[in-house]
Amino acid sequence: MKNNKVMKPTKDVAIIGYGAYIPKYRIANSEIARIWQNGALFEKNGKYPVPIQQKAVAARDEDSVTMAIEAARRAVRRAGINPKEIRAILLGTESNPYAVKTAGVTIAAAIGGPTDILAATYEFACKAGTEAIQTSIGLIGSGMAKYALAIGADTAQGRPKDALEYTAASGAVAYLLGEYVKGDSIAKIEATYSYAKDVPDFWRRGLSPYPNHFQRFTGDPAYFSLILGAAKGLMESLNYTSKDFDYVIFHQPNYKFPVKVAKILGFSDEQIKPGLLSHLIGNTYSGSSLMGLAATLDVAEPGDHILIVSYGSGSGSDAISMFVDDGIKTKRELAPKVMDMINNGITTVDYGLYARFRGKILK
Amino acid sequence: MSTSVPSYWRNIPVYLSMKGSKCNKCGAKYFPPRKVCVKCGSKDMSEYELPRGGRLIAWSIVRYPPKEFDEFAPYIVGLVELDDGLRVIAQIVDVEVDQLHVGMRLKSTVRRIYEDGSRGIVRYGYKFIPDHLGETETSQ
Amino acid sequence: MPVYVKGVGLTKVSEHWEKNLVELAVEAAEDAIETGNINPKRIDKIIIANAVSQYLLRQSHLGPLIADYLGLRGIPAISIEAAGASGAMALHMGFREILSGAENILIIGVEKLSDNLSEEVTGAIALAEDWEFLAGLGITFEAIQGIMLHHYLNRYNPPRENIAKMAEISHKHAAKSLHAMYPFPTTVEKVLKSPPYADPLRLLEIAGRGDGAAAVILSRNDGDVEFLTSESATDVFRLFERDDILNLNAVYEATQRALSKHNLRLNDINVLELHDTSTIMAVLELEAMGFSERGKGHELLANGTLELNGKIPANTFGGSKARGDPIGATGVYQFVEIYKQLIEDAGFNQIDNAKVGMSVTIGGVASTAVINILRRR
Repeated sequence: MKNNKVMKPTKDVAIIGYGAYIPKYRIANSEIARIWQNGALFEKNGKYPVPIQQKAVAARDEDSVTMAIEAARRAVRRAGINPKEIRAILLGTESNPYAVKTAGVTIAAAIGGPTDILAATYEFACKAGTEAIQTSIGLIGSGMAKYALAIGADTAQGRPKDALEYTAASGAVAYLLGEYVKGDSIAKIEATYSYAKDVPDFWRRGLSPYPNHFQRFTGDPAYFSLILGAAKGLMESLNYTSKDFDYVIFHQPNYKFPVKVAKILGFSDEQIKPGLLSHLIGNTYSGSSLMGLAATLDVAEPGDHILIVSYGSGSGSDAISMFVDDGIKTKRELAPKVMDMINNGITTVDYGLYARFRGKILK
Repeated sequence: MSTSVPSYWRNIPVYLSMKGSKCNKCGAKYFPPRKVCVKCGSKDMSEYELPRGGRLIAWSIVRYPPKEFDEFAPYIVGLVELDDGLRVIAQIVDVEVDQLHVGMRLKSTVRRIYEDGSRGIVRYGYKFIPDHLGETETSQ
Repeated sequence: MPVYVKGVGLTKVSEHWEKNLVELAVEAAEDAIETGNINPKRIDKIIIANAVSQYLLRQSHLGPLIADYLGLRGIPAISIEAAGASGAMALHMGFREILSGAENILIIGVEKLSDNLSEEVTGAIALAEDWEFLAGLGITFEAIQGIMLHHYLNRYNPPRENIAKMAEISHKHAAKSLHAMYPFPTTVEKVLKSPPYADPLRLLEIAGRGDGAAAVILSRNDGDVEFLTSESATDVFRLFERDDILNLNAVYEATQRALSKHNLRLNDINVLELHDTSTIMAVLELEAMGFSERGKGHELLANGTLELNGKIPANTFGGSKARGDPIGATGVYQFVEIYKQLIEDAGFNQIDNAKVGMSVTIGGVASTAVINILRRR
């Protein structure tokens, strides 16, 4: 069945730079379970059966903006462009240090100070980052901008003792987009498709420090419905099946969901493997699927066909497909890779230090 | 007293980008930036962005800070020599004291310095972290 | 035309819960006026030295305030500030006033630290450093000294005990002093076992925080002790912009000028007041003044040179560590303590044949340095 719902830019757009940042601190799921006594405390052969072993924790002096800056600097370095020529800096986050004051200008000041910019902050729960990417595709694809920087960053908070506390993690990923130049780009954008409907599965009211969710309702009617809708929407429009892709990345609120939705759509373990990171770092919210994409680009070959499908509670899903270009080989070596950040310089903290870092202790 | 917003704003290029200045006449570099060259007296100065990499020269630990910094204490502060020879004193974070050594390779980063209570602005500024992924190895 | 010291006064350095800043100033001043046998109406001007009351007590304009409570309404009065060197600098200004024709100048150094929380006092002490790129980034004055000590240990590899010994010497001298804040001895072992404060500096290596006031009357009329010379200098303000962070250039400059003005040599100095804001600063001051080669100042602490029976007795009433360091008043305390040695009023700490005494007082990490020299007639 064919439909022409996908969005394609009139000029060819490409990812010309990307950068990721993961804080160095980790807390083990078993440590959270030790405090609240409600997680999978049951140990089997020295391992906890819950797939998510640990999550990334931002230090006390980090926030979405500081992490976004690190990711952005790495993206600019890979792109090798003059940052003053960036025309848009778009941040997607649900943990903005300010309710009113956009971070794009702060990120701009930290990466070379472009001022001919459009700056905005996106919110759509965990898919705010892919929203920023789609807008960037529009700006460049229409000829309005030469370069645009799209970032997904979060220092996600989970209510103490809630299931989400086990997975809510911190991280940031930045994508620099520009006109596609064959041989010199990282990945050429093929098409995007966004699917959204009002599904109140997970939300946060204005003055509330922690989000709420409706437990199992977040599954089939929300995550699965929207992701399947977006993925199928794009794939059917372009006449693709799962076999036509080399890699796929899904939003990763846990480990089970992305594995299950991949299976439903017919993707294999090899296709999702490089982009599946939640068991190592938790759910980095607006950075989640973007981090998976970065990890995939870290290992992909020119010509590879990649599909990324994000999910934002509330709800919506963005599907973006792309073809890896020759430029990937040299450009990816210019900044740290995701697995380097996951494997190097890690410090594990206990619940006390975690609570201190995340401002959960009343002073 | 509230933290001064104009004062913070004037310093944003220095706090977020480590912008210094360079004398166009004699080449001397300054951090923080200056409008008049101390060496030759020239007022012909250009903007100059410091390199991100440097090495650790000496350090101390702040255990008893003023209240704005209390939530971060104890923290390490160090004298860092950037790759261009300029020096700065700043916090060294994301590292344990016993991992520090003279000559340690560091990278500048942007972190929260402090927030002015729950309603005031967030002050950001430069700090240094270990460059264990070798990002500052190659020259610009 | 010589400048003479006519009268001196001081309060104990302590947490004076019952007295406010003005009362302390008045107490010391009245002491000076009485011992100097001066008619207060013949004081031409009052110079107050105070470093941080604007910040801690929300009180500026100490000149007329203190003059009023001294019963000298109408007299010209001013308050000056040069961080930790305020006291010595006020004496420097008083010195110049006498040379310009004044008859009697009353200098009062006063500081009150116990009215505030200790973290506020830490913030006040850090005012001496650059706010925008040091204090405002979380770097305290103590930590800056910690960095200097760390670098010194790395460069010269001295025995750590030698540096800590400064605290032992200061406490030994304070033990028999009537106005010291901590009048009891300590040992190098205790100092190095005390809690880390600004590693590698330990708590007992840092100057004691206390309230106090000290006063001096300088005069053109004859006295037993001459205020021989007073020189000051400044240095690059931010430590990290200096060519060598262990070189207290302002101390060096001020010392050279002070000595050369009167053809003095370091050998002529019989009693010394070092400004030990921390043990390492005392060592660096000794080196900058020229009492030892660079990197060897710590040896003077270890080999008895600075003891009461040594070649250059130093901090004979306890110094900043044990007498205490009421910031803006410290320079005046140093001056009064030298004076007491010269007129043989030093009690248990009296050294023999003290003829010439010298003090070094610094503001911040010696961004300001003042050298004052007194000589017995």
